[in-house]
Amino acid sequence: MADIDLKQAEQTAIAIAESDADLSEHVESPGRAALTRFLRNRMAVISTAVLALIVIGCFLGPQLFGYAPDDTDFDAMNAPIDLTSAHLLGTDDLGRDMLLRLMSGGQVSLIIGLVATIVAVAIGVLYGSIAGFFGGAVDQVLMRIADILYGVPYIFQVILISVAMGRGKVAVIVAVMLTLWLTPSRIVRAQAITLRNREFIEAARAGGMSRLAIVLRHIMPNCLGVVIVYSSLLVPDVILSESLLSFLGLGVQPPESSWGVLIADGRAKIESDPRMLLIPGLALALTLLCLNFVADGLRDAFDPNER
Amino acid sequence: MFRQIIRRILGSIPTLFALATVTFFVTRIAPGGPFSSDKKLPAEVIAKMNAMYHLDEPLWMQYGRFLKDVIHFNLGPSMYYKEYSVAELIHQGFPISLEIGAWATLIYVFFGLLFGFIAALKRNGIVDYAVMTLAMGGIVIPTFVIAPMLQIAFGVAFHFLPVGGWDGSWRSMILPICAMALPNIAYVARLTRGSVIEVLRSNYIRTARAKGVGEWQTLSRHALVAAMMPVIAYLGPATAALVTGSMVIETIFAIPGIGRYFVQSAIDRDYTMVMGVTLIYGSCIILFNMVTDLIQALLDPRSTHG
Repeated sequence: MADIDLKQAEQTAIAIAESDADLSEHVESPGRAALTRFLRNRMAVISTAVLALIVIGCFLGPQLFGYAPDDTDFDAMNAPIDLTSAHLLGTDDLGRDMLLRLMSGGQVSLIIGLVATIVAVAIGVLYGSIAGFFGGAVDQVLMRIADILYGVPYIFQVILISVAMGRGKVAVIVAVMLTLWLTPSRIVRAQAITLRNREFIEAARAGGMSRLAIVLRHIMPNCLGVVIVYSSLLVPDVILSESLLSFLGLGVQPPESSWGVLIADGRAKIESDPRMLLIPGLALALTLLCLNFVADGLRDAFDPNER
Repeated sequence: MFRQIIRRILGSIPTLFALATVTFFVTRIAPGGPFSSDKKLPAEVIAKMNAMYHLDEPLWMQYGRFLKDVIHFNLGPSMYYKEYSVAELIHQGFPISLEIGAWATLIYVFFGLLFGFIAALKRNGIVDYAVMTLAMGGIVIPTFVIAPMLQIAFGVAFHFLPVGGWDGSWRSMILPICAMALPNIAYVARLTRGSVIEVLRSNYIRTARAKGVGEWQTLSRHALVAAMMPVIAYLGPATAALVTGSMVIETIFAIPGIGRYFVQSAIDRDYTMVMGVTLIYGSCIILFNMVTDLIQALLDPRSTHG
């Protein structure tokens, strides 16, 4: 009996391994399949293009101007939006070019969004995989700490850290990244733990794959999808937090600008010139909108079962 | 049920403790103190003031003193508004923040559910697209942009409502409450729409319809409660969002609630005030999370297992 069972299992394993090898020639790799699915999502593709334009505009656009964002043009103060003049979006009450300020503020917002997200996710992945990999007491302690920190509202952590570090760009990045690593660490830990017991991992093990190969070929790519999706959801959050802090006067400080600073500037002048609020507000909203669509597209692309 | 409540209360103690500890050390590590800003004071004066607020003691002694005071509900004097104690300031500001927050919650739950339900029932119709577009707008346009826009529209352009300030009348409450409720209406509408669509596909709704239960009864008695579950789960995190919102809204509309005090005291390094407000807000959020969990457990017994 036992003998037959063993033989059967062996044959099944070989069959699975063969069919795996067979399939790999016709079937796309998971990454390519995800890309195909992403490209089929029209909103996501359009949003990616718009985002690319925003990024290129913010970083290369200022090169086209012969002056700095805080240079003042005394001949054209409070200039209106005029697409034929030198100041496309006009100037503010000090004669600073609105478009140029928008672009340089955007640089700060986008950089903070990207850097803080990457660092936060990296910390989270490391923390989560250590907890998931070691398991037992280490896992218990690490996750208990994370649980307690979870209870502390995010906005307090951000405000406290920016209070402690003084105000400015670096403080915002540190504050945001130190508070946002918790969720990715949980996600990665959960993912690693569930993956360990999945059938396809078992099949791979039965097929004679080494543990390292399993981690590299199956566990990591499967976590990668979740991590990419989560990171894409995080970027708009981070950009929003930066703007919020800067708006409240706790983040980036003038004369340096970010979209949050520009919005705060604009709010002070709503009665005389609503445009100063609306322009950076629209830029921020458009960016967040595109980031949301891209995140949706990535989620659908990496996790087709979720749809 | 009772045991669960006790367990939740006990479980929230380490969180509050962590909150207090983190707040304490983070504010103390920070360079500069409440008396080092604006005016240059003579060294003796600063030394005297530090002694008065026990800032000259070693950190661990300050920490011990702070914990002892907190256990006795003594939040100490404000270091910036020197005539007031933190408790007095919170006592003045909290009811105002609470009033706005409570109204905003009622409004966003009602309209969020309503819009979400309508969108789900008229799925892929014009109403659905309109609601979902507005919801997307509510999510991507931050409160600190919407609120000034409301000020422009209703305050500056039409002189219909006051631009800011607080006199306790309903007119001064409308704009802040709307600004606070709008993004949450958007979230709740999206959540509700998704969950109604899912619930309507479920077997027991099909059974109810097959039995010949009227459409209205099917929706109101079977679908409504089930569809509300994610919304109730959202109420916990939403309270945290309301706290954040209150800082922004109170700053924009010049409302003397504790949100504005918090931002101001963070800028001024008013240690005692920052800690007092953090603890109050933290307790509120923990309490509200607890209440929503319990409501969820009452409505859906499955959520307590597992």
